[in-house]
Order: sequence, then C-alpha cells, then structure tokens
Amino acid sequence: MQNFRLKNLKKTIVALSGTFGARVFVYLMTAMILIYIVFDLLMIRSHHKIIVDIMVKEGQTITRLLADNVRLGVFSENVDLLSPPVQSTLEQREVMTILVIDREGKQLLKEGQSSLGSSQNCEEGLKKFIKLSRENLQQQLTFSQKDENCLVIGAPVLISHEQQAEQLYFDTDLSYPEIPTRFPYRLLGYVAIAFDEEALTKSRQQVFSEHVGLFIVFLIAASLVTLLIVRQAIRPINRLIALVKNSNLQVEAPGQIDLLDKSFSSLVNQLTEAFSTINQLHLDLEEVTSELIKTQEQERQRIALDLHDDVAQNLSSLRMTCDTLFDEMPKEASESLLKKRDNMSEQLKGCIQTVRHLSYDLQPPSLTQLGLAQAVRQLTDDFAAANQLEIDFLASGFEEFEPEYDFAINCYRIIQEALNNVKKHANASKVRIRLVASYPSIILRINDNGVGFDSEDKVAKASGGYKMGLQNMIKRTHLLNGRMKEFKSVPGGGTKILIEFPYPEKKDE
Amino acid sequence: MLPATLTRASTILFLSFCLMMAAQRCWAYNIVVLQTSQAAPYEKSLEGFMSLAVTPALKKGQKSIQADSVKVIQLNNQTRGRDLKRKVLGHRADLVLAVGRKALLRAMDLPDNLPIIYLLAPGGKSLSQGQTNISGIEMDILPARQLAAFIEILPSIKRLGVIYDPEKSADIIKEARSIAQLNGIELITEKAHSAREISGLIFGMAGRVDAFWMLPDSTVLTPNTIETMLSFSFEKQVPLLTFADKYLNLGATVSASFDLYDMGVQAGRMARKVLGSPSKKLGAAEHPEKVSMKLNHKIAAKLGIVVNTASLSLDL
Repeated sequence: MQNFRLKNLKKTIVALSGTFGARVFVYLMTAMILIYIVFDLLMIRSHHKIIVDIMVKEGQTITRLLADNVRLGVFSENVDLLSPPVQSTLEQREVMTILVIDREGKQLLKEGQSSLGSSQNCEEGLKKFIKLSRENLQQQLTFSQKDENCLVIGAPVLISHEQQAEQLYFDTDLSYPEIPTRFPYRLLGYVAIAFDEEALTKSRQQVFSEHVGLFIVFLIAASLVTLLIVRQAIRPINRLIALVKNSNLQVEAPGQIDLLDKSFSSLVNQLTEAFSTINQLHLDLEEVTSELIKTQEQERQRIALDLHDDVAQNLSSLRMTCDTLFDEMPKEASESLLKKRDNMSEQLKGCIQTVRHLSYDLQPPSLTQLGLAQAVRQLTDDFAAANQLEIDFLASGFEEFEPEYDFAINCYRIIQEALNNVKKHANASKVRIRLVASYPSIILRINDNGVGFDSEDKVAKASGGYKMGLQNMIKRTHLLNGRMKEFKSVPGGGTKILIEFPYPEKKDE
Repeated sequence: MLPATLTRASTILFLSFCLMMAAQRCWAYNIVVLQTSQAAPYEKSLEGFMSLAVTPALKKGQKSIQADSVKVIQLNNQTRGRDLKRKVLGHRADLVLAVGRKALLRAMDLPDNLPIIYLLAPGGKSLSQGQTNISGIEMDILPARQLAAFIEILPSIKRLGVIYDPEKSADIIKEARSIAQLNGIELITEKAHSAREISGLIFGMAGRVDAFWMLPDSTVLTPNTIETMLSFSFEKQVPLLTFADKYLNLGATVSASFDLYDMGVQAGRMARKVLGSPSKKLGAAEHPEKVSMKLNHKIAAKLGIVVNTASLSLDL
C-alpha cells in the first residue's frame, strides 16, 4: 500500500513535468502569434497607407508640375502646346491617363498609355473629377481620389498673378511693397492624371509578402526563444523530479518553486523514513509471527509428546490396575463393586482416547510418519466421519516429494483451520480439497458448498472466530512465502480458497 | 532786474525772429506729396523731385520752395478722402505731387483749382483726361525715341514685329509706323483683343521679323504672354526689345527704359514751372526725357546677334 502511494506521487510529478512544459510552450507561442498577427495587420495597413500617401504626394508633385507646364497651352487652348508636356509626363511608368480641361470643364486633351488598358475605376474617377471642377469654378481644387485600383490626382492650372498697371514696369506690387509676395491666382483650367492601378496593387502585394516573410522569421525566432525560456522555467521542476526519484538532491531555486521543492523534499524524506520504518516493522512482525508459529508448533509438539508418552501411558496403567483390581479377591467383590470397577475402566478408557486425540490434534503423528499427503487424508477422513461431511481430497505430486516438517505442519494447519471454519460457519455438506505439488509451486485449493458470505467485506464483518481463523491461514501462508491467490465467497454460493506456495527450500543439515 | 533797454532790445529781437520765420513761410510754396507707398521706385523719384524742386525764390516777388514746406503723406487703406482733403488743405498746398497711380486717383478728389502733378502713375494721362489741373510725367518713352535707341543698338534690324491692342496702343503704333518707315524698318504688326491670341500671333511671326517689340500694353502683356514671348525669342532666335528692366532679367535682349531719379527731376522742373507761372496752369503731360538703354549680354550671345554697345547706359 505504501509503495503504491509513493509510486503515484512519482507518477504525478513526472506527468506534471512532461505536459507542463509543452503546455506552457504552446500557450506562449499561441499568445505571441496572436498578438503578432494583430499588430502586423495594423502595421500592414499603416505601411500600405504610407506607401499610398507617398504615391499620392509624388503624384501631386507630377500633376502640379504638369499643370505649370501646360499653362500656355490651356490659356491659348492650343493642343500643340499641350502635347509636349503631356507626352513627356506619359513616359513615366506609373502614369496611365492625362486629362486637361478648361475652367468650364471642357476637355482640351486626353491621352493615355497605349500599353495599358483603360480601367473602369479610373474612368469613373476622371468623370468625377470633371464634375467636381464644373461645380467649383471659383475655387482652386487639388483633387485626389483613390479607389481600390486607381489613383486620380487633379491640380489647377493657374495664371501666376493678376497684374496691376505698375507691374508692367516693376517686379513688385508697389501699392503693398511690404508684402513680398502677393499673388492672387486666376484659374485657367485643370489637369488630372490617373496613375496605374498595377503600381498600387504591386505595392500592396509587396507589403504583404514582406510581412509574410517577417512573420516566418518571427515564428522561427520566437519558437527558439520561447523554447529556451520554457526549458529554463521548468528546470526547477525537473530538478524536483530528480529529487523525488533520488530523494537526496538539494535544489536551489527562487520563490515558490523553491518552497515547493523543499516541501516535496521534506515530504519525500519523511515518507521514505516512515515507509522504511513500516517495512522494517512489517518484517519484524513477520519474523515475530513466524517465530510465534514455530514456537506454538514446538509447544504443541512438546505437549503432544507429554500427553502421549506421559499422561496417556499413566492413564493406561491406571486402567490396567483398575481392570485387575479384584482379580485376587474374586469372591469378596460384590456385584456393585465389580460394576463400579467396570465403570471406572470405561471412564479411564475414554480419558485415554481423549488424551490421545488431544495429542494427535496437537501433533498429528502421521505427518512425520506418513508424510503430508497421508496426514491430510487421515485428517479429512476423521473430520468427515466426525462431522457427517463428504470430503473429496486429492493429493498429487507428493510421491517423490516430501516437504519438510515446517512446511508440512503449516500446510496441515491451514487445511485444518479451513475445515474448522467449514464446520463452524459454512454449514456445508461437501468439501473439495486439492493439494498439488508441481514445481515450482504447490497449489492448495479448498472449495465448499456452504452458505458463503460477502467476501469483499470479509475482514470487517466476519465474526471474531472466523476472522482469527482466516488471519491464521494468511499468516501461515505468508510464513511459507505463499500467496492467497483467491479467496472468494458469495452468499449462498459457497467459498473458494486458492493458495499457492513456492517449493520450500531444503535446509542444510 | 534787467535794465529797461536790454529788455526792450530782447523783445524786439525775439519778435523779429518770429517774423522772419513767418516771413520765410510766407515766402515758400507749400507742396503736398501724396505717395502711394514707400516702395523704392517712389522714393527714388521723389528724391529726384526734391533735388530740383527745392530752390530759392524763382523770381523776384515770388516764393521759394523749401524742403520743410514739402509735406509727404503716405497713403494707406485707412486714409479717408475727407481726412486727406483736410490735411492737404490744412497745409495750404500750392501744389500736389501724386506719386503712383493710387495717389493720383486719390488726388483727383481734391479741389480742381489745385495743380496736381503725377509721377510713376501708369496711364495717368488717360486717367486725368478732361482735368486741366492735372498733368505729369508719363511712364512711356516716346516710340520715336525707343525705336531710335533700338536701331542704334541693333543696326541689323530690318523687320520689327509688334502685337498691340488697338483700343489701347493704336496711337503708339501709328507714330511708330511712320518713324520706322523713316528709318528704313518694316513694322510688322498684329492686332490682339485678348491675351489668348498672343501665342498664335507671335509664333505666326516666326521667320517674318528680326526682332520683337514689347509694348506696355496690358492686353498683350500678361505673365503668360511674357512667357510666350520669351519662348518665342528663345526658340526662334528673335531678340526681344522691351521697355522695362525687369524683362531683361527674364530673358529679353534690350531694354529702353526711364530713370526714376531723372523722372523725379523732370517732375520737379514741371513743378517749378507751374508754380512760377502767374496762372498756375499746367502744361501737357510729358514723356521721360532721358532713355536708359540696357543689354542682356548672355541672351544676346545666345541669340548670336551683333550689338552696338556704344550707346548702352548699362550692360547686364
């Protein structure tokens, strides 16, 4: 029982370590991955937004430059003046379509890159731009619209300033010379550039693939780092395991793990000592029991001998003396005296038989004279006759094997105790006994058809006598290094006992 | 206690001094200068005006023009008409000098018996048309003088192109045509009614002109058309002849412009004349007498033109 508890403790700690580390690793990795994914999605969005903003700014710069370059062309509504700056702008890879309109929204020029197909999104963006410019003639808009796949940027085409009369002659506005620049602008028209959707898509894909790459790198690095951390973290637990296994390892670790470790260490030491003491006591008890049983048998043997050799002999002599009491005075003995003599003789005869039975019970003579099998046969025969029982006894394997007296007497007593229990408690009509010697074991099987009992609770509920008898059987079994392999009883179903002994070792003479 | 004699003498001296101060005032003309702003061109021309206008008595029995009798009023948005009138009349102005177009416009609200001379007011003549008390120095150099100057600088010019708005510059062109003819130069003209037409008209002159003449015509000359003209000059290798120095910096070849100080001097001379005449009647508006010729050497070199630098006032 104690060994079982210690084993369970060890198992628990091993299991704790084995899955604990894995669980911590999985939890940490899951948390880190989730957090990384959340932040990474935000970063991707931000990164993409930055790229788009940069593209928009660059687009605005290109558009403003173009607006400045096409001023003359817009002013004079001269397509020949518009074409050169428009064509040179179209040479830029990202530029897809250029639209030039006047103040009223009238299209002056629209050109696109032939290598790129027109995008529905961009056409809609350009139409929206024209509509907006028509609605806001007095304002100078800088238009920027980004759909999913297209970027349309518009800029106003302006005359640099309205001239005062003096400004025909002078650079500055002479009315307000303290203000270095005072340039009211006049709107001439608008320029809109539609930028290639592919650039936007590529930028998005590029950002995404960069982040996927980063994620893979992060995964590998995080796994390694987490693994190292977890291993470091559960090292005290591993030491604890070693401590439990070895029971003598001192572990230094901070905090609660240290306390746990020390508590476990102390507990294990105490348990080990206790189990050791218990085992020792158990051994001592077994030894004492063994000695007790031996002493008991020796005493029985001595008493049996004394009874047989001494008391029985004396009683026999007394009986003989009683029988020959009136042989020398036959005529003087009356009938009554002779009758009394005869009674005394019978009583003495009874005493002698009783003493002899007692002696036989204490030490069956057949055990030493005829061997275990014959002694048990005689016992069963006598028992059956005395108790009106049908006892079926069969011994096998003892033809060439005769166990020593210690084994024989204890085995004999076990059978004797079993039969006594049958007589007292079982109320059986039949008993079956098998004693088989088959190297390396000797098997003893005792079955009856008695009233039976609840064998699960036999020790707690059994009567005092039965309990003692059963305990004697168990003690003698252990004394012989045997094992009660089966002790089964069902109410109304009889009782079955199966005991297995190892072959007894021959003692050196 | 001072002796009575001394006291009497001091009193007489003091009174005499006061009288003399008053007398000086009585003998100086009061001039009010209305200045549009403190811009450098105005200051420069005012300096010129002051250098000549301030003078002792012009004739016996006449008043002088003293520096401290010239009151300068800077116009700003807060100066109201009534305030201005009060200031001018309070100073008992004998003459008003309006420096700048804005000053001229404000001066035109003053009583019409007050002589007003304008300076650095573009289109002053047309603005003050019908008002006999207003005259001044125009900002345009006479076409004859300009053409004469251009021909002297660029003797190889035979065909001179010019674009103008008939509503604004017809008179100039009429005068210029006759002068050009006299000098053996063909004046090739194009009329424009809006600035939009300029680019087409000027590039249409390519191959037909040896030089292009920029007129101070506000219809023709706008920032965009200036760029067009400059583009034409560069692309077609045609020198640009202009009337103001600022276009030289932008890429014109030769400028025939006025000198600010000299204009001021000229206005001062006009002021002395009108104050000196009994009727205080102003003469007709004048054009700048002195012409300042300037050349942009880099542009000239790029255009590969031959320049007579002897008449240049200043090389750029």
